[in-house]
Amino acid sequence: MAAFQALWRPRWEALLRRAERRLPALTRYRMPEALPIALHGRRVYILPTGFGVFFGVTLVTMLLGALNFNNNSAMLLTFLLAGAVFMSLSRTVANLARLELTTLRGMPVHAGQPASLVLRFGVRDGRAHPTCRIAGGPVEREFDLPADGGEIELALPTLRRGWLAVGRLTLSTEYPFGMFRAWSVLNPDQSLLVYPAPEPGAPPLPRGEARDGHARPTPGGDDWQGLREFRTGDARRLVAWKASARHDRLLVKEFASPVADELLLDFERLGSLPNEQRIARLTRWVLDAARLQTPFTLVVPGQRIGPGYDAHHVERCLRELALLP
Amino acid sequence: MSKRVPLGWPAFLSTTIVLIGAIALHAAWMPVALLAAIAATLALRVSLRRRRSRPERAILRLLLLAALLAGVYFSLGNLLGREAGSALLSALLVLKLLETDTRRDARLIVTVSCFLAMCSFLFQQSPMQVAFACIVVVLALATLVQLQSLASRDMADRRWRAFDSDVMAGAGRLALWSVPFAAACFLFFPRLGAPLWGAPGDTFTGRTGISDTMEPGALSSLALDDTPAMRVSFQGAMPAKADRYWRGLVLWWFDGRTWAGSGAYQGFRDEPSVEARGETYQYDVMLEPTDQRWLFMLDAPLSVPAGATMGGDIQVRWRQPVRDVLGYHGVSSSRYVMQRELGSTQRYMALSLPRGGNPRARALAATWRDAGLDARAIARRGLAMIDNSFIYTLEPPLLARDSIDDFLFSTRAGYCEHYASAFTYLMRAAGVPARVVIGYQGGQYNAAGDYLTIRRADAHAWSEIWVENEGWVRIDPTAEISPANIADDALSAMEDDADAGWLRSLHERWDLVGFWWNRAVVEFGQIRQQRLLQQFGIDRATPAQLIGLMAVGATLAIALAGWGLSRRRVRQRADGPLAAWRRLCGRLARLGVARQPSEGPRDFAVRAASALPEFAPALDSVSRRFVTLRYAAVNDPADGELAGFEREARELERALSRRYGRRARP
Repeated sequence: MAAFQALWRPRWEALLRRAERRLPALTRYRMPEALPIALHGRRVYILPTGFGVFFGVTLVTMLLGALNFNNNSAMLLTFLLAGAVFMSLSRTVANLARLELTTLRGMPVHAGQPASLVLRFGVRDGRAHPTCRIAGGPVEREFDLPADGGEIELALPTLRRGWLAVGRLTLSTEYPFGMFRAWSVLNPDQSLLVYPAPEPGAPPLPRGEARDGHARPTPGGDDWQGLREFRTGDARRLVAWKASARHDRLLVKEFASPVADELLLDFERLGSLPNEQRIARLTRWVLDAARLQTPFTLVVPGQRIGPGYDAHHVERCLRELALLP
Repeated sequence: MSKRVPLGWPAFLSTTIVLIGAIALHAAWMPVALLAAIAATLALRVSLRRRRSRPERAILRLLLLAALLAGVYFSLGNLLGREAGSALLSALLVLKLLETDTRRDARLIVTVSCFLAMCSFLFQQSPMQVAFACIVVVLALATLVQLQSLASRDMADRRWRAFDSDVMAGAGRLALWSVPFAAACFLFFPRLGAPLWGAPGDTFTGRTGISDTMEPGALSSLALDDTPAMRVSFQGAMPAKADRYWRGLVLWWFDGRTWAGSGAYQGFRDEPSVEARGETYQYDVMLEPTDQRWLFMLDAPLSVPAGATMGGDIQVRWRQPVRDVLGYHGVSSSRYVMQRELGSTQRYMALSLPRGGNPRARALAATWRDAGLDARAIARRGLAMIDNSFIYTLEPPLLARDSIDDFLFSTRAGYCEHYASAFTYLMRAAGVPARVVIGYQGGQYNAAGDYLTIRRADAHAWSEIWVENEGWVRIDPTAEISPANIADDALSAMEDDADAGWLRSLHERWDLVGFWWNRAVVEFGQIRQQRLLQQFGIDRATPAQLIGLMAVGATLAIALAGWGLSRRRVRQRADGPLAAWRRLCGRLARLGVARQPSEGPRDFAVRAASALPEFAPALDSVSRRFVTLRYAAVNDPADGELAGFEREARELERALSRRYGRRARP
């Protein structure tokens, strides 16, 4: 089965892509769209579920029995049930068709962390919309939407740095009876920025080219800065043994001095490393420097950012790192 | 969708309730032992499941399966047929509940419960049964909604609470709005002229009322059964109660104890002939299922209903046993000449008696015969026998071997079958051709629906003798008993037709529901469908036409329901202070001071006060309290506060009404 899928999945997807290119009308409601996306009847699709088919077969059996025995009460009951099933069909569609994806927020994350996507759904008919399900890629969530709309958080997996298109989200519902599944594809024209993953176990911050010769951070600094996790290359005397014993992992004392000397994080200086590792290490350093509130300057090909150490500066640096080719 | 969705306790409880409801619909014809076993299994499962949510152990399930199957087999004798089928399905569903632990299983149980509810109509189609089945089906739909909800997967909830009110309301609304759809489909769905496979009649065991033989006790056992047997509506005049003899079947053969019909030999070679000698009556009968072939006609029938035949004994037979409610039209006259000529076969049968036995009755009859009396005179003598010493009772003493002698000369107490039997015996012994007829007598008029209800308790037996030139003449020996000799209270109460009162009218109303249900739904078949369409100019509707009509009707019904379901609940229920305030504003508006939408309560109060100066202080106070209650940042105002405001608003309203009248300002 798995081999079969591995063989055919790429071909099938290629075929779908081709079909979409050739027949844009087919996929009109799957193309990226600007927010807000209002759902309506023509973009909500519906099919019976397995249970729906089973219930339908039962109804047909009941009808045949009623007809055969000319049993009018049974026939009436069967039609009553069939009527309720039909009514549920329109309720299923209406449970989606009156929704609207109004806004979409996402905080940038580092690659590898799940990107928390907050979708705000508006409700256009002032009713509660129970038991909807949203699926994006491998993740899905079920939720009840109250009559005045609500926000749904979806944690998308991230693999690579750079822009992550939100992509196709499938909003579906089987309410009320679970006999029909209605769905609609949302493809909001939005992307999330994914910062590079910081390099694990990276060397400590390089000594800055300080004008006064001090290095950051220094064990001899006069400001107790805090504890941080041990990294290879840390001097043994800096280890905070007592605190480490308490926390069950190695912690290192950090000191800083408020001396404003400049730290230069240069992409070109890490020339010996592969491209992605350079970016990962710089990311780690940017984060470390931000934590230590050390002003730094980031130099990447074609840009020199800084110096600075406030949140805005850090964001800008991470963004540039994320978007490096 | 193969994902295993867990099932929370309330959802499990709802599923169980639906299952219990569906089985309860079959309770009337299920063996008591099996019902007890099912109840015990259900109780076991519910108590175990409440403690821990998991399927029961396989060994327990297997044991219970074997036990229940054996129970069905031994209590019903087989595993086929209608009773066994419904019992088996019920038992299997209960077993399924033992391993039900996912949404999928619960849905299966709910679906099959709907099927089981439908199956109960194969036994009984009374309005009560249908109403209960509808309740079960609505509960089933509610359970499906509940199974779909996220809350149904809450495994921590262990409260004894099954259906949420909003789930019930949602399912109820869907079911209610599907009624037009069901009606459209019901009216136009093409019916089968003949069944696709065998009717379930081979296992018919419903209570059938009159049977095809008459022995002592056959009719008295029905005397307290007030189940309707048939309902008759007359077009035009209705005969008096004393003339309302509903002729059922004719009994010829007497074996000393039991009277039996002519069996397969029903036609005789005689042509049936009935000549009307008085007013004729037209009527429509709605006969409840009897599982017998004869139809009941007002004595004597002048025509044969379509689809039935009439033999020379003026007994009307349907082409097959009546297993569903049957409607037919009859024309009768209560003054008639029946079979002016008596064929030799009939004469032979109408005089035959068992060899020997009942010597005293034979001797008495021989004296009448030897006196050279004619048939009428002999009948008068026979009736004269039934004098004041005879008692009419439901519980007559048992009769000895010579049952006629014993009845006539010693016990002298019996029900109508005793009288008819003895009288017919005497007539035959005296050489007068005679036979027993059983059917119904009387019937209660339902004023609300303008029809007669004939109950099984109205079952009756009488005699017919054949008189030269007059044909068969009806003689009812039971009518000779003086009313003072009716022994049982129950019987006299039943005879007493004048017990009016609310109970009686309630009874009538309920009977009317049954009548309408039978007429509108149960008896609706191919013929009625065609007749309905003829009124709209479609003479012989083909199935294709019917399907088309059904599609149109169903579409309209769905559109109607779509409108009804999508309508937003127009008025949100106003909270406490707002409701009282709105009422007050409405009153003021009718007095010509309408609040503008943009006007706040305080501004409006000022304006209203200037228009109605004498109410200025009250308006000021009420509006202040309203603003405090509604807009002050107090989350839970004291109860007294709200009640005080409501009282004050109501008083102001009343004062305004008193001052200016209810309508508009003068």
